[in-house]
Amino acid sequence: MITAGIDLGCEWAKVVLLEENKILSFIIAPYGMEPISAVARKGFEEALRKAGIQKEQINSLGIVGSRREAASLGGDLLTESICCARGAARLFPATRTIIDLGAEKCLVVGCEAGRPLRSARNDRCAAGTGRYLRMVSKLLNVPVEETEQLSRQTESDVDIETTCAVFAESEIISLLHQKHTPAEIIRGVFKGLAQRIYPLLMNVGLKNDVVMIGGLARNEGLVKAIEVAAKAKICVPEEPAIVGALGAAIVTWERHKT
Amino acid sequence: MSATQVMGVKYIENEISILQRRIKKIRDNPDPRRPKANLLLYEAELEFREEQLAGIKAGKPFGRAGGGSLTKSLGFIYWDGIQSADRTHGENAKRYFDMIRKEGMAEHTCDRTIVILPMVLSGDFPKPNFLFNTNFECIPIFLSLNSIAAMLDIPVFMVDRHFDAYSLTGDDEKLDYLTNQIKGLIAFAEEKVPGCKYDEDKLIELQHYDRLFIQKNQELYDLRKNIPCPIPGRDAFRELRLASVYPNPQKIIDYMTVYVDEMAEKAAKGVGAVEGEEKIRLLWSVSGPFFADPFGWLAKKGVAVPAAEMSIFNMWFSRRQPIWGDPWKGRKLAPLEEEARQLDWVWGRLGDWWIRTNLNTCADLKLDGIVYFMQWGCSVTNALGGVMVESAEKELGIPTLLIEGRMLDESTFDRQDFFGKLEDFVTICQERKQSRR
Repeated sequence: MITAGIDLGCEWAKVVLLEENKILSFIIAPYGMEPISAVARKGFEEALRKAGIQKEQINSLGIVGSRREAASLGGDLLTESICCARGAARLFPATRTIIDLGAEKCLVVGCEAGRPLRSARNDRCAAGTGRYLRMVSKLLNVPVEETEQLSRQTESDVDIETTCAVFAESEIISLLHQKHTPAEIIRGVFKGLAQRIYPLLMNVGLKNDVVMIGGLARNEGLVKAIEVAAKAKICVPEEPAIVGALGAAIVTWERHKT
Repeated sequence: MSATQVMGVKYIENEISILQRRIKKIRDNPDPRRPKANLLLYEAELEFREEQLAGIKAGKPFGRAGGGSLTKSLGFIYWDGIQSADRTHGENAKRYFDMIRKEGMAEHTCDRTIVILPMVLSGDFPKPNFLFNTNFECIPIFLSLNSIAAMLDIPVFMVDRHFDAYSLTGDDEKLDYLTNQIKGLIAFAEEKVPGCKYDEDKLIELQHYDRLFIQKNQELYDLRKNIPCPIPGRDAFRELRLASVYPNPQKIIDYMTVYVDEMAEKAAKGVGAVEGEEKIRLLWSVSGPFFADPFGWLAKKGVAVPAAEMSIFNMWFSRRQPIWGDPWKGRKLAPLEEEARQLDWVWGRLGDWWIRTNLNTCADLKLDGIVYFMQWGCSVTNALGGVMVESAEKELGIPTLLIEGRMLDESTFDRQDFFGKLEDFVTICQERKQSRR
């Protein structure tokens, strides 16, 4: 039985095609200026092409993410906690805590055997999300993808005093004027992000194994900062961005299996 | 009769108009999906409002002097300011919040307790002649009533209650202390408010009706235990008026009798209040963004809300707190002693009672989780949010969603954020329920 999972976040569409335990294909596509529904449809079709299968072979479809309503593809509309938990547990069976850091959200899920037990998320605040990092990288004139490399240029960091992503902009400009290096600043930003995430981990109850998913999990500097704040080792999947979509494919399989 | 008092009838006239429309609609074309008992409820509410309107225009005493039974036995028309503030939403709520902000009033407190100020000050709601206040857990209400009294020069009688729950410990000395204060309240009201006169026979009669009313709610509480629950979530959260505040208390008893029978019939047939199968059952605690109809939203997802927890009611309904007429250490209390006992709204204080009430309800009704609304300005319940999460997890193995918001002001409400979190929580509750099987 082949199922599909689509995760429509704030900036990217992720599609996974799953046959039992095997990922047949996956796609990660930015929305850019296109409508979300168009990107979702194209991503789905591209995943089918990559897997060499037809749409009719898809038994069921699960859709998750903050923009899931825009999919217009039918299917099961799913919630993030359950998809994160299922997806992470498929890749790391001993997962007990998940950090899902996206463009506009930070979701922490406590789980066991792929079942979500508790969750906590940022409360309409960009300070603990990818949007904050994007704002900072723009200020430092460095692509987000290169912030990790930048952070390796120094061992020291600065404290970002403000807790608000909006007000942090002026503070960072001040730090630049004070001759702090972009590398120090980015390390300070990583530290600040980690400090925002830490209370969520405490609320949920941090237990090993801790798994980080979402596109930002590729940023080793950020992961390291969270490890220091949480005093815990963090596992990162090979493709952290697709774990939500993988989970959606698993959940829809559960719901429609015969 | 003051000009201000006459001016303050707009809200009441509006409520009368709404109730008349509802009654006409039911009589002309009853909706078979809604309880037949609703007609009696609306009629009783209409009589309540009509009594208020007629009383104000005739210059009768209008106020609060303790519970409904004592208030009415003193000859007052019942002033339900805070409960009326609960019902504001949409444009009205916006208008009151604009006034609050413009006049520099304390905005960041519990919405219902601050909205009543512009309602009264603008003349939309009648100014009371007399107020009673007490040092109980709801600090915003305490401040709100004292503010109204101070700003509008209204006599207010303060009753001092003990920190521990004397109604449950059976402490005679503390009961006497409260009873003597109530005697003082009566004397003060009779002195300050023309037309106010204590009638003990009336008090006894009204206490009897309050007993019957609570007993009906105890039957309803038992029905809430049914799976599926026949009672809609919206009804779980309706804040009660005790029978004694109505001009015709028997009518509200009749309403409760018919309503309980209807719910019992549904329960016997296995008919639930949600759409489709009842998947999980939740406790909704404190208050909520009622303007967003979270209970209707949950019902569509097969989530029942058999009970809400606001303060004292579930202790009465679950028979854990004595009601009017229950014996006190083997003896029947005198009428004023009974009023003293019922002033002991047992929640908050050390916090244990509040937590206990929530957990008792969850255990009684076999609930799968708690939605704990961290309402702006509710210092007592907010402070205990974390304790609730831990206690529910430890004692009952059920999760609690802590979710922030305001009760009446929509300006800060993020629908996607709120319902996203609620939906995620529902999923978690379902997953945990399945893992328990």
